[in-house]
Amino acid sequence: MRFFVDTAQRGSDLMAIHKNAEDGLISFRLIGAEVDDGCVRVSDLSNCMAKIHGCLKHVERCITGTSPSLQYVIKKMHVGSPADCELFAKTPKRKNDIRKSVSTLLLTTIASLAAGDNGSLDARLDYEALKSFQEFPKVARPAEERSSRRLIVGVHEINPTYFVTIDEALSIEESSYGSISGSLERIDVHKSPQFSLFPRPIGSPSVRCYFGDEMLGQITDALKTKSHVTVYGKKDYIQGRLHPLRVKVDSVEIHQNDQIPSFASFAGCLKDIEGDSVDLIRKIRNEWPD
Amino acid sequence: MNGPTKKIVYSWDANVFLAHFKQEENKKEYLSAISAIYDEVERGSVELLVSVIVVAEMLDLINDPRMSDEFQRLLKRPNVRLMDVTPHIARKTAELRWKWKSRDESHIDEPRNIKTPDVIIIATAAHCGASVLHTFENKYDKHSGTPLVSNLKITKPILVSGQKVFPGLT
Repeated sequence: MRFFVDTAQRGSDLMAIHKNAEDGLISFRLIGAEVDDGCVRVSDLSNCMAKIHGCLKHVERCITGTSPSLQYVIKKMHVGSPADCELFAKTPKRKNDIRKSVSTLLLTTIASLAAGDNGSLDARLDYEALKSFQEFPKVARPAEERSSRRLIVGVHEINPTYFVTIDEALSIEESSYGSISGSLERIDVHKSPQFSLFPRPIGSPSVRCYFGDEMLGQITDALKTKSHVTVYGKKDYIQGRLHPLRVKVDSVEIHQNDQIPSFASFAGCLKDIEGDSVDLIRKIRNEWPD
Repeated sequence: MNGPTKKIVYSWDANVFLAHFKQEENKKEYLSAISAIYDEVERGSVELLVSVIVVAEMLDLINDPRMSDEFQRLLKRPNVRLMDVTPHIARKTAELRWKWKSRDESHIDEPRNIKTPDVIIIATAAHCGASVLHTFENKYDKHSGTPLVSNLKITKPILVSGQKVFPGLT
């Protein structure tokens, strides 16, 4: 099986994507800069491989909603000019075999970005995952130094359109103040304190929530008790997403399940209000102007 | 593909909450379905979407601090999604109101305008991917699933998920 084709063959390469994806195989080719006579620098290759690997991990996490577990090995490698590499996902021992899903999502996302289509990006890809799609091909970014380097993943060359599209996909479209609820996971206090919020519906991409140091105790407690929380603050949205990309948290409210009343306890609680429910609500709404 | 399991998402208009809170005799055939749906919400097998507009209307009617607090705590269940009016929902609301106003003459028997809260509730349900919007408001029935309501399915409360409770059979 051949994995690398001339870029002129790009176009309807979905068949090739699926063929690669079936094998859980990701191949990439790196072509060095003219200044290096087309040879690939070791630092570029190792960096590129590490970042593609990181991107695969993010894609897997977004598909499963859990920590990534697939292990990748280098199946083939040719160093020189150009450098070719094949990463192969080992068969998982216990869990469902999601290798095909991971490699398909990676390759179709790259294909969409290279074609300038950010409207069809998979909604499961969260901020970190999209960021990794922005990061891994940096070696081939036209604005970078030694810009004649080229990167081809599967059958798709990372082209200038790719960078424009991913930059657009990650740019904030609008912001508003409000709230969002979900389960709190993964606190990170290394730089700006932040945690990941997983909103409903289940499977939605996580929302990165930045908070002040003074909230650390409260947020750590919520994590320990696996509580459902509501955060209030400034929400930044990117295009086409239901939930915000990130929230600058002003306050957080922790909900204890055992304090939530039952729905049944409300039965008949407003029996004394006269009038039909539809008419009562309509009366309130009719106060709004036409 | 091994994606997350998609749950049924119900969205409720304020009159659905109110019918349960009043235990209305004239909606008796739907009360079992309303309770059964909320049972499923409590069990975590379905999700309930509630617009903040519905909360404002319910608190207006409840008009009692203790009960208001109880009602707000009811909405803090993990499977209840309280939804703000986001900028996207605001735009969708305006878009749907324009569509409603500019309908052709075949709808001459209906009011040309639809109130903003009604449309916010529809736009919220549509934007958030609700499976169905439950309401007792009759004027939406014939528009259910049409572009006029953003193709949203709108019905009286019926349990979709377990198919255990149907109005008239309880």
